[in-house]
Amino acid sequence: MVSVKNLVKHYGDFCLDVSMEIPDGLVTGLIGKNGAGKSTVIKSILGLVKPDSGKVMVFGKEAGKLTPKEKENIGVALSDSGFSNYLTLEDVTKILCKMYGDFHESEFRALCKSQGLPFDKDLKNFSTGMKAKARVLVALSHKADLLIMDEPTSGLDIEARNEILDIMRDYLEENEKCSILITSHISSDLEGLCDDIYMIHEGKVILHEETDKIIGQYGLLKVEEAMYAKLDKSNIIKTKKTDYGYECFTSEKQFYIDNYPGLVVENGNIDELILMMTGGK
Amino acid sequence: MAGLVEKDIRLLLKRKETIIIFLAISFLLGFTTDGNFVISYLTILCTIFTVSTISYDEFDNGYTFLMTLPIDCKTYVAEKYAFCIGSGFIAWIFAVIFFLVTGVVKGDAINLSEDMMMAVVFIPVYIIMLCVMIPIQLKYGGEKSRIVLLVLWGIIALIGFLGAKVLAGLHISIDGLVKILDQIPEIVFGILGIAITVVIVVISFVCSRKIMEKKEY
Amino acid sequence: MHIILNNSSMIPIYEQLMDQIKNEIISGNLKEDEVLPSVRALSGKLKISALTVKKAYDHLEEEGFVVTVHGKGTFVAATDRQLAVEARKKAVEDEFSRAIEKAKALGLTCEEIREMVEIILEE
Repeated sequence: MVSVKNLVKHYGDFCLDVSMEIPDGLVTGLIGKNGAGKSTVIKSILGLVKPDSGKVMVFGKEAGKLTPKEKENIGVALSDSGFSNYLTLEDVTKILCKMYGDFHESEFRALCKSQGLPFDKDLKNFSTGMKAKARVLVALSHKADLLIMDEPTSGLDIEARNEILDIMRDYLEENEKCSILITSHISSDLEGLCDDIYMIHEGKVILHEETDKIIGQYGLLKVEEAMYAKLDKSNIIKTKKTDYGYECFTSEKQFYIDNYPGLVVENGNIDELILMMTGGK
Repeated sequence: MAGLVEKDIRLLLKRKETIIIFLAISFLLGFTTDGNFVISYLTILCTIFTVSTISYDEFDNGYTFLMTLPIDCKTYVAEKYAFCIGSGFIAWIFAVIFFLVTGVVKGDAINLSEDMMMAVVFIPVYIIMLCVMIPIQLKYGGEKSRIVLLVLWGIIALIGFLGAKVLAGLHISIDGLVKILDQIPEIVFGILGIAITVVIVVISFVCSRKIMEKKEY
Repeated sequence: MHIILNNSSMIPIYEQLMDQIKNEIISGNLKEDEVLPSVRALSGKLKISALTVKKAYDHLEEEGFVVTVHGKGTFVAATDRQLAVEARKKAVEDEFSRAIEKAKALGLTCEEIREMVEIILEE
């Protein structure tokens, strides 16, 4: 649904150079530190910034050239920009009615109500959690096939985060062919929702892997000095020296489980992956 | 575009107090001064008021999200012009009616054709004001544009002042010019006025569009 | 369908899913021609990636337990339950063979291997 080919963008010293894809019907996660380039990727996909070189295609067309009608098929939730804070949810509802042909008003109202969002309060008086929920619900309100969510659960407590993720899961169930691009710092959120993950660091994609593989095939080996010397290192991606020996990140933990009984092997997760890929040797 | 109009109306209606004060002042002015002032006052006030929706859009990174909605730069700019010119016109009609009503109440002598002539002159005036204010606001944003506009009016005033000096120096009197202009039939003025206004609107629109298209969000 | 996944287990999630669905089919909880939840629905409920569920369904189809009809969903195959049990018994047999081979490679005698099995069974 979205294809980013050799997107290059310069901002002063910073240079972004990425290629990635958001396939139809899948949830793609994008993780990276602040300043790694996530927002620039999102803005390029939304046609908000123009690439210095490379091509960003959405629905088969160049991102910056989508017509308003085609844009109706994209739902957006950004972390630092939205409707004017002087408006109320009632104002926003009425505006959305007129902006999107496929706006489901009664469903939207019902969902907002069930999440405890008041219609008569100015948005500037919403709590952080309420604002985040409102943004997500607005993005989902017009049955878009492409959803772009920039840090939708940022700054929220675990309950609110789960509520928002459940809202997204319900949406996915009802709209099977929709694709989602979601950026986040919170790995556990991504593990429970995304089908594949891109890791971006200093403007480059340093990892692209299916969540299923990260959890199922990747693992962390905790090896003492003596053992490390004898270890077959062909399947090790990164190693880090620790007090007790070494921590090795592998993409084939089954190999080590089978051949080194007794070796401490932990399941892979995204947090470990981040720490390993952006630090260590 | 309908969504954008809905947004702008709702934003402006939040400033109910401001609107009421404007109306109250016009009410006062209508009864205490030469009623004609009311027309220019209300129309120009409405112009400045509606153009301020650009500041609302720009505030707090608003444009980033706005541009992901199903609109494009052309639609956004077109809505601004349509909304501001349209509202200005409604304000003008309201002001003219008000002027006539207060005139009747006060017992003023109303020379309909002359007064209407003066009133109609304001239409291109506020439209041209918009054509200057909108692109400047779009390019420089709410804060900086205030300064830019001040400088602009200053320059215009200077040109006017210098122009008058030059004409005097060339021994051409303003009165003489006016006498010549008076001889031109009003219909010509009318058509010329409309033509110039339309051209200015088109030029301004194209500039505004280019400014928006070049921006990155 | 009751699926409980163990995130801390070394067994890949899709395998756990497969095993549990097979159990449901063999025990009769899932009947022939019954439709399984859609990939999206199940992945949402279990809070896992849709690709994991798809992998499980694909493997189940390879082993003959389910049939996917494009556009309609995934259905429990009309399979002889006895055959299914046989197939799984064979799978366990294969795993035993592998374990015994490894043990022998390590130098364990048949007696030591039997002892090991006894101890494990008692646990």
